[in-house]
Amino acid sequence: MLRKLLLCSLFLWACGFTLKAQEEDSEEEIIDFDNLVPAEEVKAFASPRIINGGPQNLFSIAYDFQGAHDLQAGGIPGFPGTPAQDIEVSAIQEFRIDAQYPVLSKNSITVNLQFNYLRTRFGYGEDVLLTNPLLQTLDENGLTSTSLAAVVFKPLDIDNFMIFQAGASLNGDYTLGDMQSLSHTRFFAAVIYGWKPNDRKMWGLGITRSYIGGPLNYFPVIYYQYSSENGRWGLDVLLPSRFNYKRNFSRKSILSLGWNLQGNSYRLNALVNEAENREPELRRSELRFRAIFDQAITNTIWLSAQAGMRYAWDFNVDNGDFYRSIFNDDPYLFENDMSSAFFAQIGLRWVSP
Amino acid sequence: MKSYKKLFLLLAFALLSSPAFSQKADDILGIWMPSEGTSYIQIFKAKDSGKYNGRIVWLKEPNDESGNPKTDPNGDEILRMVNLKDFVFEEDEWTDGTIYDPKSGNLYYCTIEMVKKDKLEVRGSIDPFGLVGRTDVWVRMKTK
Repeated sequence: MLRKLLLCSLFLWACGFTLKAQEEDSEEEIIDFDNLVPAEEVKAFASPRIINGGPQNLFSIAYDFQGAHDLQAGGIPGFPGTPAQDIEVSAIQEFRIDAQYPVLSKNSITVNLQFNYLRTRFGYGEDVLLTNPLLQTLDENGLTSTSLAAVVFKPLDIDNFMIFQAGASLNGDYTLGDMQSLSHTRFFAAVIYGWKPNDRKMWGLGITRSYIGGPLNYFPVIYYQYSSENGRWGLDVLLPSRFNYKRNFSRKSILSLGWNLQGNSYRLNALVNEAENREPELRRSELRFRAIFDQAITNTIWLSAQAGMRYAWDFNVDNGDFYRSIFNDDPYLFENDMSSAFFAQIGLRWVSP
Repeated sequence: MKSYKKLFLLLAFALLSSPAFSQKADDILGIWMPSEGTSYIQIFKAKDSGKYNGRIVWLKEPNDESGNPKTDPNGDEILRMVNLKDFVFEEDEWTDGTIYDPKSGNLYYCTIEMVKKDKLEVRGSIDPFGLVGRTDVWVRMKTK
């Protein structure tokens, strides 16, 4: 009897040991991984980001301030009511909203919708009698730019990708309460073919239809994203519009040094009556040499501060919207001269880490 | 006879209109390869909680250029790391879990859907509702 009981206990203990071993095996199975194959055909794709490339912007608001500088506003030839005038601009203040939403984000394709709003106000100080219509409308209405765009990242395989961008913007001396006709919408686009040799580098070549120089233009673009092996520095380049050398002090603290070229063609609605049968458009383009410091407050909220020198690449007024190459020296409707100025910007960013 | 025909049609309609593919909670167990093809992740069931976790069990390049085991930004070794945690099976999805990206060191909310028997759609997001995120396709690995 005792022998039977002992055998029974041994049997139950052995059963328990076996069961326990099976549970552990379910986590710690010994598998020859070199002997595995995908259960079905699968194609690998390049991802749209590089390691240590920094967070991706989802929504940001920013306040931008340009210090005092001179502005020589020209008159419209043949229209005596539009005299030239020189003035000191005491400050230019801007309010920016930038939003980006990934409507589709899969390994085979990424589609982002972008919205940008930029409101610019010009200040001339007190007791200045404005006679020039450009200065008057800048003072009374300021400038507004609103744009919508879609950006598609389409990886072709693990090494190659394409980027498509198409968008529309409405720019002018309008306000949200006194909107401008949508018939003056301007369209921009870009296409890039790229290579991603590893997780730390991707680059590409392409062409764009853009207003970043002020007037409509077509030019080649160079795209380059790089992160060093130790992750301490990198490059964020999209020539000719931006060049940033990035120094990562930590994953939550980034300093960028470089430049940014941005611009638009702004319809001057207030000048249409002054210059009959003409369609005055301000070709406004700024080249900014800047230092940017980004600091994470939380994992997804970042504080961004930047400062530098703003150079007015273009601030002339043309008649209507047309392609003007950089070699085109046809006369403008009238020319203006804006001196360089110090600028500073502070903003909050909601990001995807 | 006519009523049998009706019943048959009704059943046929019900079968056709039901999801073409449904799964059980443990169907997710196994070894999976994310789309980049540089790692395998073994999904297992935690003994204590009954939740589903995933461990990185294979790396195409397990060592860095210095010959040392690859680590995440926190210095933890990537191979054998549990980077999927705490998934529960609800309404044909594995939800309420998190996914850790050892390359960036970021932790995301995550939901897993089995679109085919051997294919998962793994969506990592910065919000618990999955509105802002990225979906990756993982394929099941099997022995040759």
